Amino acid sequence: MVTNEKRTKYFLLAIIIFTLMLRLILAFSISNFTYDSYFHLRQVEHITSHGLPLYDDPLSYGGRTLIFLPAFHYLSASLDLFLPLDLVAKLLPNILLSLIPFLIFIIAKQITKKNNPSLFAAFISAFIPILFQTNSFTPLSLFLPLSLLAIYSLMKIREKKFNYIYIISILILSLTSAATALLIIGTLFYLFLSKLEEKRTDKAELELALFSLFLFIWTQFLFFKRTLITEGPSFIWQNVPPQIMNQYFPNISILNSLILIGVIPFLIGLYTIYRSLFEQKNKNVFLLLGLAISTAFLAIINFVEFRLALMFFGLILAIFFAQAYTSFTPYLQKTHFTKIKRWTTVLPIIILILFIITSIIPSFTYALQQQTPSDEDLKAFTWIKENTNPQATIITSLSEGHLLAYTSQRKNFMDTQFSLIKDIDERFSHLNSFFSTSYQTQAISLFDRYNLHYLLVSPQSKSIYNLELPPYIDQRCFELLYSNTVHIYKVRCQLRPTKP
Amino acid sequence: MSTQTDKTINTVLGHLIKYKSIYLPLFLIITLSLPFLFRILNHNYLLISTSSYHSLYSATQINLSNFWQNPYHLILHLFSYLPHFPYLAQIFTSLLGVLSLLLLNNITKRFNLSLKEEFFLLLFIILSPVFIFTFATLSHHSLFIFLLLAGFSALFSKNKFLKSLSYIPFFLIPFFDLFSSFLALLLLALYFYLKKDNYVKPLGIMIFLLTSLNLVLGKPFLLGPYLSQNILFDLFSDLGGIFGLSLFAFLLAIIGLTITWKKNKFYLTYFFLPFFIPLYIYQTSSLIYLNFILLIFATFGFVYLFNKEWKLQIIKNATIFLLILGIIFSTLTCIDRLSTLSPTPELEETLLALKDQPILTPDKIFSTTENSYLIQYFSQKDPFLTFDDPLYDEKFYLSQEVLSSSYPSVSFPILERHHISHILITEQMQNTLPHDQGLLFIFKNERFKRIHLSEQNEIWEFN
Repeated sequence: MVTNEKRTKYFLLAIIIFTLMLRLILAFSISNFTYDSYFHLRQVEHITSHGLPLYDDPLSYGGRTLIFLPAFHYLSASLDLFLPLDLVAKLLPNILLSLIPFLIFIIAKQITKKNNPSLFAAFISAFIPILFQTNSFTPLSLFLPLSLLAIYSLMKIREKKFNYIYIISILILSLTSAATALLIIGTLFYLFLSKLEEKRTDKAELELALFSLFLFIWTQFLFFKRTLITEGPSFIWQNVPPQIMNQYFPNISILNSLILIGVIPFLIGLYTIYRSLFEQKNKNVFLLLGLAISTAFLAIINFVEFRLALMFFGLILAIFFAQAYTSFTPYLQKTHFTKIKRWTTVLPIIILILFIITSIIPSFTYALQQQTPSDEDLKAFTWIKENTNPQATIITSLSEGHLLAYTSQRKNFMDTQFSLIKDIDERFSHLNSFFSTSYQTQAISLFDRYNLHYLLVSPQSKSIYNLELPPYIDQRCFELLYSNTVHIYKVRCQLRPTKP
Repeated sequence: MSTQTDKTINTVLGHLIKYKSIYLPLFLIITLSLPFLFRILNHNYLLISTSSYHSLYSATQINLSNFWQNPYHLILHLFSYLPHFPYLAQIFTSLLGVLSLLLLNNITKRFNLSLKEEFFLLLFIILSPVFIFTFATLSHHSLFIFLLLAGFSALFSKNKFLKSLSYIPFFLIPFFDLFSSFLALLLLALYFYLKKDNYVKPLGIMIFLLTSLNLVLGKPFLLGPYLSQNILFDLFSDLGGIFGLSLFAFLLAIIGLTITWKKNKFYLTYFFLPFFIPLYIYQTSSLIYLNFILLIFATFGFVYLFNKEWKLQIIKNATIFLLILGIIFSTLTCIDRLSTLSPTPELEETLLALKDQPILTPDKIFSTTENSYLIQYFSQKDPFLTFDDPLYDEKFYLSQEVLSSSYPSVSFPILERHHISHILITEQMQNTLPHDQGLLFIFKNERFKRIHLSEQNEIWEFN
């Protein structure tokens, strides 16, 4: 006879294995990685071979200093010692993200003390569409599960071992992503809310919150001293060019949020937040409430990237679903709904069907729509490595900058790491001009100014700029070196300087 | 293990507190010397910040008609007859810093502060970037702070002769600006409220009369600024402000505010916040006053965390360690930045080359406003725009036009109308201004001729 606890464990294990399998199938069926992943791949490769991150990058923007938090890269590099990097890059993020249902389960169980709602929450968290980027190799895959572990440790603060787990997770988080600020601000906000509501908090909670705040600020100072001094408070916006600021910090859209988090967790989660604000006495729910409100607030005032806020928010809402389910079931028992035969089976089935339509299918769609370079694109980038001057700088679209540095090992004109780059808006508008100007003289003067040698026109740049080829391309000044789905041109003309 | 660590910390701290009158001034001397030491190692023997050269220049311009305008410049003027005048002026200002610290040490003893609170308050003040900036550059705030502390130190004394000496500093204070008088009056009123000491009344009347006189004479509300201002950027030293607050000290101040909130003992301290916050917005260089108040709260916050029984002793030690590291980090950031601030020897060479140019009145030199005092002091020429120019806003707009416009039809009439004959381009301008547009681009025009180049510092003649 299988006990309820054992059955729950089997179910949980099944959810985790099912999620992992699904993620890995998708990851391996899509052959390459998302464009941003190539930056991290390159850093991991460098750590494996040299032991240190590539902070003085000779290829990005033609050579620049780029400081980032390296914990995720070191973790990947340690695995890279035993496994090929391509395999590590597909396995590690998906394994880490597959741990999320487990962490959500234990958090939800801590709040509701019930298995079924917690299992539901775990299942929901496994299929949050925005987290279904199976071919993305970024520190977020370490940040999210580790944040959940830190939240769980904070809930279990009375047990000494969780004090240490919390400290270690905060330390690793501070060295993984600046988004750790979300967790710390959320915790402080929870303490503030508790004070307002005159709720008793554990003394250790305040102590750990203060410690994490100072530890986080200190580590960020250590790594980003120059960025902070150069960019001042605007470092929050990472020097993103104003022209594309809207992509990173867009106006909050409810419809987008519904799609990217999933209709059920979003609506039920929001409802629970609303109810908790007025009724909830549970300290742990209050902690999540603090995290949810501060995340939403920071996203609204554009202090956090919208995508990241949505991921974090989605996970919190999944936990809230368990809370809602727990309080909703006794309410249902008082209604006519319970007159339906076997309603305890019917209700989960209804939820499951709704969930498949609103979360699982969008997750698949989201995974299949990941922006990755094709094999043909990669061939062109490899061709560059073998057939161009190693000192050459090559124009690609913004998203392909890291791919060029990683695969072709050539200098790019621009990539998505904007920090500390001077006159970023001007540079970005020049990048656009390379693809969209109608005037050959303007294009050539820009090639001259930046001492650029090649232009790569890929399907990615064609779709961004909505053109086949830049209008100024002709045989006289641009020699076609490579032609497939990707075109590579060598610049052959120069302008003579004139006086104004 | 943890108890052993606690014992060691307490022993070291006890020793430092016991001998704080020796350690703290020594520590301040080291802190104030470090920016100069780093500059000397980089072969830069010039004073720190362009604002220092405003004071030097103003000191050389003192005469019978304007000697009453700024007591600090008047004292510097006395040094101007001596050899190595700039260095003597700097030593004098740094000495004011050490004396101010000793006076503060004397004043803090008059309040009901614990020994730890006294020690950490003074330590945080020494380590605060704004305090370092005030005494490592030639700033009139240094003398004002010294006089204010000297005045109150004398007032607190029980000795009648010493008490009567307080007339000297309080007599000089109104000659800075109107704000200095208001602040002195406010503090005297508070002193009277707390001590019921009638000795304050004639002092108050004296300051009031002198302030009224200064009001009639058209004294400014607040002297300066002598550097470009940015409310957001200047607030924290860790976020790029040259003389900002330490972020860690600020966070400690928030903790201090929350623990002292609504405690009767502290309500007078809150009283200053509504004055100093708008003052900072009005002029960021007035941050030194807000800094004092925030550091009082930061001290209470720090000592609270230090004395409190923590549930997790290891976390307490780690947090205290992080806090101290954080505060030292801000100090080192400030020292590092001060050591690299303008002017450089190459710029000095360019400015001296400009001095040799036959530029006659009404011709002027165009550059950014920060460089105006360097042009006045080193080149002895008239800059187009200074921070204290009565037509500052209008001229600043024109100056931005010249810096950003790529069209001769826009820039040339402005240059001609304002008799601008030369343009000084510094290394900093080269690094911040675009080269393919604006002023640097327009230099390609034949009406401009480069007549000097030293590293990236240039002089251009406009015909």
